[in-house]
Amino acid sequence: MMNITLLAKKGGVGKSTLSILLFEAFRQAGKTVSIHDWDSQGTSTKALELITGQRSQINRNADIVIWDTPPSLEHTATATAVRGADIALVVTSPAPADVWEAEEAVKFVQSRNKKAAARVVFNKVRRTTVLGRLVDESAKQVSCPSLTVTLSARECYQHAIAQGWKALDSTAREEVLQLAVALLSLK
Amino acid sequence: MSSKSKSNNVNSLLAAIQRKAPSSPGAAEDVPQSVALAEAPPKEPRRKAARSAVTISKPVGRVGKPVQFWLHDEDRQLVRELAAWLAGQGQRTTDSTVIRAALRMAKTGGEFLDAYRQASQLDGRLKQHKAG
Repeated sequence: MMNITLLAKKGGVGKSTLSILLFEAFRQAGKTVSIHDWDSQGTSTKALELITGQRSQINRNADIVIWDTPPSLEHTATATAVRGADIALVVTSPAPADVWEAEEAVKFVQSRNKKAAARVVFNKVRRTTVLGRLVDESAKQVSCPSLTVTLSARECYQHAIAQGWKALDSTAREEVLQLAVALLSLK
Repeated sequence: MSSKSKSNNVNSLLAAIQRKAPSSPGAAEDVPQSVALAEAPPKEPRRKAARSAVTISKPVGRVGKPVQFWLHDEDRQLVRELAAWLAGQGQRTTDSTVIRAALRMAKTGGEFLDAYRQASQLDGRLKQHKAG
């Protein structure tokens, strides 16, 4: 079993969207996946109900367990999910304010679980913009490695929250699968 | 890039994920989530079984004694985090059971010594004693 915890100090960076995208990517590859939605907003839970047509249940024997945490580092659920993580994935956008918060989240992971592989993933990247081109520079501001795979700002990712894998075009699928492969390569 | 080559890329990435199987001791074989979710455990008989198990395994004459010790806010936060994790495993806990479980897990060594030093730095009585 592999535990992947997605966290961020602030909301709106795409933790729940990424949780669902990873859930779908691993599921497409034939893995059993379970999401622990510990965010009181419950986005992942609602999305899972729409995609699978069933109330989400925790599968304790799943190959991959994804922990979607509240947008707070003070919350007990975030700390608990980080403690149990094999991979702690700090989700951020290329915006400077988000990168600063990402560094705090990385330090939080390092203080709570030294054995976890901490990585930063850049979400909502627009390569044609200044911030998008500076992602590699932004990655140097955080004290753990960043994944070379980034997720672009795509509308189909928002559709995937309700429709799942079928909402993604082939380029988006490739991007998400590359992220899934990158995560599996860490352990 | 043509749609055919993109499709090939997606297929090769899916194959790569299938090859990278995370080690899962005791895990069930690959079952699609929809199938795994469909196997809901029966509710009522399970509750009855749990009650009877508690009745049988209840130790006789092992009541224990109340003890008093000092916990700081961060210690209580640690207890809450452990309790939250146990809740995720389907366990209903009390502070007492969480602390007792943690004590059973503790091993002496460098890490334990570091943890002790960290905890003792917060101990007001120890500070007073050292100062005196």
